[in-house]
Amino acid sequence: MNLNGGDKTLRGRTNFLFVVPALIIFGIFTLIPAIWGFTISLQDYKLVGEAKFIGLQNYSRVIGDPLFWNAFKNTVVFSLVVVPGQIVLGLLFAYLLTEKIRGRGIFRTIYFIPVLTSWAIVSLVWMWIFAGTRSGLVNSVFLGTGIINAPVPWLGSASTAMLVLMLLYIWKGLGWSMLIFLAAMQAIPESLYESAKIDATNWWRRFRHITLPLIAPTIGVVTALVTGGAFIGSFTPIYIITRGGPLGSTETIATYMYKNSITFMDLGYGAAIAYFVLPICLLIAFIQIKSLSREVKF
Amino acid sequence: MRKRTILRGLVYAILIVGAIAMIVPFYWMISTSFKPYGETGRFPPTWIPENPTLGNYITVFNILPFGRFILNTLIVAGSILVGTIFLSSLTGFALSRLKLRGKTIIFYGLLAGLMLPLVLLLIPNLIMSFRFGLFNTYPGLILPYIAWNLPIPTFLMASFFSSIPPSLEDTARIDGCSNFKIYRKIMLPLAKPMIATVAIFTWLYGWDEMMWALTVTSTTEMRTFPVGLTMFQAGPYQLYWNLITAAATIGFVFILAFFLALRKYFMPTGAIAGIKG
Repeated sequence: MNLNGGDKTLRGRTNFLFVVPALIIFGIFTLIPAIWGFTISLQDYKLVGEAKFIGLQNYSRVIGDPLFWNAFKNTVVFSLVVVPGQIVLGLLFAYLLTEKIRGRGIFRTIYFIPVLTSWAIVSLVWMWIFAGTRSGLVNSVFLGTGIINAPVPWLGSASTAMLVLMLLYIWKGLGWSMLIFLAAMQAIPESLYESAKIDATNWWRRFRHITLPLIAPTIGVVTALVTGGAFIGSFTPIYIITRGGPLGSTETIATYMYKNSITFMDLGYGAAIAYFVLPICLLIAFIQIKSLSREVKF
Repeated sequence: MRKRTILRGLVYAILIVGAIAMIVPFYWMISTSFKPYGETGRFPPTWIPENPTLGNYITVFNILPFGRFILNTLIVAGSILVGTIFLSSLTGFALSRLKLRGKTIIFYGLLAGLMLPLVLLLIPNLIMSFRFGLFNTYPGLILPYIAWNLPIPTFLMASFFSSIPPSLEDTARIDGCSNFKIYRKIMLPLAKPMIATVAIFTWLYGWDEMMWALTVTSTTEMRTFPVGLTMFQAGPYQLYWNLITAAATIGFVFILAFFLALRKYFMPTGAIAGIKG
């Protein structure tokens, strides 16, 4: 994007007025809180009572808190599954939909419906589908086909709850990454495929040598955004479905921070958790954008 | 030739399996919402309700102020929508078209705001809402939402405006149009598809966001749709899946209807705005 149009930009003494409203609202609710939040993390700040400056004590508490590290580990595992899952499946469906097949528009719309539905809705519907009773949809289908002999408490068991949440996250976001990949793939001129002289039936080679390198920047952007979302944004489905349980098996950084600051009203500690993981979030996004944009040149 | 047919068959098979996986949860939601309570616990379950009833759709409004939850969400989502479109188009126009000092700093500053997760902004904003009297009010919900939703729509608007040829505004400038008039009369009408796309995702954001809505509201009558929906799940009705799915279906219709109304303007590239949802 070209922000410096040189002579083509419009002059005017009152031009700054165009950006003032946005800067005010952004300053009050994003910029100032971002800085202020850091000072809160340096205090013993409870919702009631006097706040007290305690230096880095909240941070050393984070480092020594096994429950935080459990939430951290869960968040990393969660991201390591859902990010590649959403990217690979998004690429697969986008690539299939570039083919001239019947009902392309219908497929595209169907895959996009979960994206256009709110987390609260899909989370509750998934709870019902994975209900631990015989009448839960998944259990009844598995019981009916003889895959299992007794109903499985999918969300009540520490070994399966996280898997269901991962599946839900991939399912919900798949259409989003698909749509963005599809837009990028459709921007590739057909002549490039023709001049490459790759047999039209050799889909893998076409994908590997033409499509993939050309949409690599898009993959980079999508990966960075999805990672950011999965790493710290996955609050609503977990809060609704498991509240971090059973036995902390689905506790993530977002739910653990929320629990500490809002439920236990320990605002200073909650803020310290958020600031402790911030550099990691930024680093992940930065590395991915860098490494993938390097691949484009090649 | 034979290989091609097999491959095509495989493509259809994968696409159809995927489509079924996408659709079944929604079918199950709608189907359950028409069942009487007794039928929801049956094994094997009934795919089509045996005794379909509309009763659940009436009950949800009686056991909780569900109408109020929807009204609150319409007010909140509607206000974020207007605020976001106005501010993102105005700022996007200025950043891509106007001569302005510190443009690059403003642009990257806004995008950096995107990297800040809500959990990080939650606590200071909560304290601020107490001090400014915004706690448990509509502005307390709406204003931060506009600020947090702003970066990507502004980025999209700026990139959209920068793709419009400058000759258009040159003519207007010769005719003596002010910069605001160029924005209002030329740029905004051209940006209709991007505005519609941003509107779709902003609407969804208003119906979707839960962490802040849960934190900044305290009374039942200030709850928004997502928070209100979970009240069915937490209260004495938590196993009444027929009621929960009826309430969920109502919200689903509100969100989807908005998308369908604007679908002809929808720009896939603008879908990047959906990351918040």
